[in-house]
Amino acid sequence: MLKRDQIFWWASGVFVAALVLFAITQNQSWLTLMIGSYLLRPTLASLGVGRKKIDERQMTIHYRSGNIAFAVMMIACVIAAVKLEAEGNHAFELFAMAIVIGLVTKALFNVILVKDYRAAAAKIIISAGLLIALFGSFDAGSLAGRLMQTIPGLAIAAVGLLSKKYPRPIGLVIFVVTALLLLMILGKGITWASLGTSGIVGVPLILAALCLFSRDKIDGKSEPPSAA
Amino acid sequence: MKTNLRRFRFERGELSQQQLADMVSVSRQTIVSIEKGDYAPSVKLALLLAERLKTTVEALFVLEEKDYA
Repeated sequence: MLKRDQIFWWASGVFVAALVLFAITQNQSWLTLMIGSYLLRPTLASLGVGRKKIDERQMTIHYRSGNIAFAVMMIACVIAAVKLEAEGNHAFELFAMAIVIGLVTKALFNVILVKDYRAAAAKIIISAGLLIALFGSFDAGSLAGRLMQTIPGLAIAAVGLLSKKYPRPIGLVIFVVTALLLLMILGKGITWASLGTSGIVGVPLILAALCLFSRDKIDGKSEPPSAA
Repeated sequence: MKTNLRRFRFERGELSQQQLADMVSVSRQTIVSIEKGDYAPSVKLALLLAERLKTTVEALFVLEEKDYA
């Protein structure tokens, strides 16, 4: 049975808006809004909003079906990307970007939801650094060039290691480094690819910097609280 | 895990699954799944169920031999 709560009415509103906008403009793209109405409740619950409006068993089912759907979507994206690349169609890059965005989001939330923010930040910075080094090395031709291209990424990874010891100063450094990286990426021209790359690089690093300024929600004490 | 939820539900004024579900703010299907042993509730829900049925969690849910494996 449908729960007629606030989220239900918001989802219904989005659904009706999709139909009305489609009817007015005859542009099928508006129908994609229906995805939003379908995913509104589980997404809000996963983000911790309106959690009381969903029962725990349904939430467990949403988590499990979400993980299966994620894996299926990744496989579909990989198949589409491989097919388009084989045909010489550059649209495969959009699918590759969708795959990276999905994986990065999952990895980010996997570490952040643990609520051990400073450890999460170190993991995010090190991973981002290593990935920047890896993908940077693909661009250069000669071996020396490839090694040179890995230096910025490796430097970021090293900063990530240091963040465990000096969280707040490194948080500031990460803000500055991210700003420079974004200037470098977007300075070459604002295209879908550069915007996507800045999102993939920038969002995790900014989140990591913010994490370094937060207090951990997990306390390391192993002793039981003393009895009152 | 063996569950005595159904027995306690009847012993406490023959509550319907829907009534019990409303008392602990979950869906009727969740109560059905717990009674069938298909779903193990969270600690919070187990405590709420025990409180509403005026019993203890240990009386509602009993570990079986296979749970120790």
